[in-house]
Amino acid sequence: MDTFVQAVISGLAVGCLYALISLGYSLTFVVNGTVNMSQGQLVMLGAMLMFTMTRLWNLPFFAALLAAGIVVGLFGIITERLAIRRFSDDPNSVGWILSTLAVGIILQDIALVIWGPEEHLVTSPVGNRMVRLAGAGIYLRELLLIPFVALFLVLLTLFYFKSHWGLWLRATADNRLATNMMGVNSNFVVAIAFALSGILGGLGGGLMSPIYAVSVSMGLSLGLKAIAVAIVGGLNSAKGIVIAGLSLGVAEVLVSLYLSPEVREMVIYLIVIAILFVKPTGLFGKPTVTKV
Amino acid sequence: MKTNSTARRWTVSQWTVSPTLLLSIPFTLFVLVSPLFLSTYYINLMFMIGVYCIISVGMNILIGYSGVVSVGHAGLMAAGAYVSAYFNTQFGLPFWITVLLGIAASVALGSLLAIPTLRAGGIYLAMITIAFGVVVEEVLIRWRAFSGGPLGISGIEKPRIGNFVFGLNEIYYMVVIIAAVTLWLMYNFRSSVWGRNLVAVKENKIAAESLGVNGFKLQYVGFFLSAVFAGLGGAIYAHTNSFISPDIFDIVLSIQLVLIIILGGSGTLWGPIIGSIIVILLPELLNFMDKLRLAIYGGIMLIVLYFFPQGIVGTFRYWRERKSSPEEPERMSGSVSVGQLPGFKTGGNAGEPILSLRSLNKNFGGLQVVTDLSFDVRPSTIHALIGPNGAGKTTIINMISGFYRPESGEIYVSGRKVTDLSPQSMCAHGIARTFQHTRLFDDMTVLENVMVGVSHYKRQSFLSALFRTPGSRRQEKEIAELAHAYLDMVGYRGPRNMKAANLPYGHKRLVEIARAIATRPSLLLLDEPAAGLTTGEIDELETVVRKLKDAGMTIILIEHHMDFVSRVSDTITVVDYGKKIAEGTPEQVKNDPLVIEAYLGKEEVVHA
Repeated sequence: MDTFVQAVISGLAVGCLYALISLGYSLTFVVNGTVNMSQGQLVMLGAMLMFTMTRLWNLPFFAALLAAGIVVGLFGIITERLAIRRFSDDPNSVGWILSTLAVGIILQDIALVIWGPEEHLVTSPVGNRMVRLAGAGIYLRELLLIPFVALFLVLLTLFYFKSHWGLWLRATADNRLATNMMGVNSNFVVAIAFALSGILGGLGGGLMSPIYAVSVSMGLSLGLKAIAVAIVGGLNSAKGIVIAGLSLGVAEVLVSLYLSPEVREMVIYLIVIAILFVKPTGLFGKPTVTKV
Repeated sequence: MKTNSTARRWTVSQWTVSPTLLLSIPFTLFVLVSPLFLSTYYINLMFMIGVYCIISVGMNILIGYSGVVSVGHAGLMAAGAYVSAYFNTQFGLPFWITVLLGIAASVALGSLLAIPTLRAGGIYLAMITIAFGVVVEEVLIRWRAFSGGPLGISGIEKPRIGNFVFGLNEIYYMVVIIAAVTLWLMYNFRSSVWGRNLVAVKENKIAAESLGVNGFKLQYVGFFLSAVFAGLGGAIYAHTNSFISPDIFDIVLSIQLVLIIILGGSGTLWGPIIGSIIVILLPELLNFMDKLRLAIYGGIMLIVLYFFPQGIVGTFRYWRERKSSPEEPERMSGSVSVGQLPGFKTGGNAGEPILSLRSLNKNFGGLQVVTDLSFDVRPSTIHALIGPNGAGKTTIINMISGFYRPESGEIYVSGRKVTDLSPQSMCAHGIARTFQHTRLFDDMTVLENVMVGVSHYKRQSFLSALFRTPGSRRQEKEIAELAHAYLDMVGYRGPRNMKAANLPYGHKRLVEIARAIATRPSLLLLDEPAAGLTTGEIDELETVVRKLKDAGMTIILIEHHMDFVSRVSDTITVVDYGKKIAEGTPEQVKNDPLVIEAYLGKEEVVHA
């Protein structure tokens, strides 16, 4: 029983991360139909920055986390300007998929030169303390991940629904042309969406750095896992992504616990493909209506 | 005329066709004789270029013709390589058999991947293929019994005939021959009904479906071919390298494969060759920057996407085509004249309506667009559908042509119930349409646009198209001739070998009508065909519409030019706010008080 509780909680923690990263895809997808395929590498960048700032520059954990979020957010804006804007007129074209992929592999290679291939671990502000929960011993740093992600989601929701920036985001998502005609520069709004998506990636990377060993090569597989989450939940459904993220996180841990860690990835992606067979736009996603 | 144009092609001064020819002769010679004087190192490189070329041909069909980007084809290559290697090392089967097993594995896995992702389309597709490639690599590392784990499989036999084991030169020539054959197959595919319709789906899926083209099936065929070539390339690689391991088939390889096509020029014949040459030679040239290899690929990808989105070959072609206007396509001496066109299906018995709508309802998220709408259309008449903007006319057309499904009500064509059928099946029931905003296949020529329509009733078998049998070539000629005849029928006098995107507006309208009637419909739906036309062009349109009616076709016409409508229409149905408010001859409708109210408003309201 206690191993089960332990597994579910660490599954929820991983799931929170997946949801956070995956929401980064959703934010930009609803605004202009594109996603940043280098999102995984942005998460990696957040984690690496975190390592440099806390271990090498000795910045306090939360200051470094904030800085990582902001810097990666800026990278989100740069990616939008460099790799999205020119190709986003036709979201069905493949240009932006390839260009953001290109940005991703460039980022990864440069990061490899800077940080090397080794794994790094960041010290958690709560150290290695354990807490007991329903008879199971759980690392506090893992447990704390959950309320932190929840806090970010609340802030994001407030931003989205209460600020005028959020209003612009929603307006652009609904009708870009009309938003432009109301005097709101939609290019700017799209840039905000990419900045937000980058911030989520950076925070995700920063938050995971004290819990899991982080390395330059983790970007791709994390990005892919977040993609799986987005596909299962539905790219245009924030609620679906959070549910799918948590479920996939738990499923992953349970599969490695009760089946074998070896088949974990396979089982997860088989589930994803099976869901895609049944519901091509995800469990909670709304199919987009093509106008004739 | 015919002899003249062929003769011109061989003179060197006229360089519209010759540069490719001039380049390809020395290129072919070099490829053929290079083992005589080049060192093993270079032959090895050229052999690798050949293997990449084989796989790129499939990628070109996928990216260039289908518009589908897969960033996971390294996974399919791995399937071909591993299955072939497994059966060779475990059961001692010869290369010639295991390569087929490898291709089969690649196709099976590719189908499993393609069927759900092609339906989801777009971004989902790109995302899933990446994940697929990574999962395959993962599986190969873990599934030791089959793949040998991270160490891979070694000691794979080289191809051989009897006791003669292929050396580097034999393998090189084998790859050159296979690459040439795959290029030939790709060329055949593109110049057949299959390839043309696939490109049409890429250019404009909605228009293609309205012509009865099954988009999913064609995209699957494209994916299938790419899986065949990926599996083939993978198996050849395994048996010539004698050793494979999971890290060979990583995401870098998948990205390289996409880069080859984007860089070389997607959808072009030479693109895969030139792309393969550059992507293989580049790391050799930039040996000192080995650490930044991925970044260099990424940088090239960005530069190409920004500055030469059509790739090297595409950009070259663009510059050449800008200098000269395209040659007009040849027509056979005994070409089909308008009078010889196969007749249009008139459908149904005389007197019985060809189309009946019964209490149709349609709403968009609470907004009732069409309410309890019923009307009949008599065969071989021109039936106009008019009403103020936003009255729901286009929605009605969209329901008849199968693009929208009514919430309730029935649609009958010649007495058969066709409610809820797909656009393709509607086309099979003899319904064709044009669109309010023209939807031509922009990147295809005028003639090709109409040929897509003709292919609705001129079917071609896949294998005969792929191998360009005499029968399929004859068929291609027939289709082209019929397309010419339909263009003649609508009185199109513009260029026919020009990309549809470059046509003036009035010509686009005519080509779209020609394309629609090329499916030999019994019922043609015209959605504002006269919008934006000059008075002269409207007169020509009137002639065309009358000619079609005389040929037995029934036409439903949405139009705002009232004088044009009242001149040509036999019956007019007036809709307002989704309801039928009047119906009758032009005279009756014109004097109907409800119609006047809908168009001009009530008298009492005016003072407000």
